[in-house]
Amino acid sequence: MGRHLRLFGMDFPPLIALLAEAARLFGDSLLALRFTPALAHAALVLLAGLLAREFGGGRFAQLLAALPVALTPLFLRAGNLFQPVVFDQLWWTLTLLLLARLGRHGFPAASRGWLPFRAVGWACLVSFVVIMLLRGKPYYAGPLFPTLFAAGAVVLQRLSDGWRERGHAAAPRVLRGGAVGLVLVFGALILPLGLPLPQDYADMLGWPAQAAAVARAYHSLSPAERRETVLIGTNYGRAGALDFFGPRHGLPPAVAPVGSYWFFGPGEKPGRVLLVLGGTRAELQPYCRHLTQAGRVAERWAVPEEQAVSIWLCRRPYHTLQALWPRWEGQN
Amino acid sequence: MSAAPAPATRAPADTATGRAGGGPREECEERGRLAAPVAALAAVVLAAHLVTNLVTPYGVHRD
Repeated sequence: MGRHLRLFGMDFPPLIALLAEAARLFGDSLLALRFTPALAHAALVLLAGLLAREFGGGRFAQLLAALPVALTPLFLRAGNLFQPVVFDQLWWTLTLLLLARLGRHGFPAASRGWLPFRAVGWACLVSFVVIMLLRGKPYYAGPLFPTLFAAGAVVLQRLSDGWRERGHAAAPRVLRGGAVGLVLVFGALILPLGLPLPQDYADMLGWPAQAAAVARAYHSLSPAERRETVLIGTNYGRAGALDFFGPRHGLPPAVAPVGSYWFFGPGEKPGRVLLVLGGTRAELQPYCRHLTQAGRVAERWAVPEEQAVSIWLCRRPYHTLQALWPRWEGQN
Repeated sequence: MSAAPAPATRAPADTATGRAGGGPREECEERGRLAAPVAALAAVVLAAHLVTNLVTPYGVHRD
């Protein structure tokens, strides 16, 4: 994304492309790539505490609001992946915090309860209903949770304090301890239940080997053929692997007639020699006068479609890539 | 000229209502500072992510 910057002309938010480009300044290491989402997750933890404070919560409520944001798989996952997800969570929560602050400043100190924050409540409710009606994915509602955690934590704190004022000694302790215990049990401790290998982890395996295998095929060609060769990824993961890991193997950039990659175009070369990562002989035969298998990559723990991927060498294709590209618009 | 602002008050650590102490305010109540454990938790989260990505056997996610 960072190498094809087209602000507001793509199907992803522009900030993620800018951050991708910024991360490249520090190399292509995992740490550099995932620093900004990690920072966003940490900021989200702070915002949950600030929201609880904004709702009138003390130390316990702030910590109770921040704990699930720190520990639940929904937020841990988002904070550890370079995707727009954690930034969506951050901006939404920041907006709701500002809305809460606006609401509080519009009411005199004598106002009690949740009245100053009703706009926040409505915003959460309406957003939730819209996401449900539009059949959004479950994690789309994630940005609402820090605010709801904060409100719930303040309610719990007030309940606990009320019991303590009425002379109950044990009940407040049980309530607070139980709340924190529930967060811990349903937070990070349930992560191992996702074994043997959740898709997120499988999605992180196999890509360097694919790029290395394509590089072997590429460097086995004559210098004249290499100058003509265009690398093609048959899905965005394969094309991304070639673009991300390819430079260290001396590979040129890849093209892909799928998803967002289609918008990046076929490049300048007509593609007299194509090195195709993925696909089958039957799928590629209609495009090539001469098609041979140039390699195969196997990764047992990758996602199913990436466990055995073939590499194809297509010589003398029937059409140039530029002629074919419009036909491939809209493929996923 | 506007009236002189009321002196800032600092909320007690953990009150029954969660409202700040001190005298009445005309505009709205001041909130106390963010609890230190929350800041510590955020720092732990950041450190955990960074360490995870230093030592993980996994690589780049395709998404």
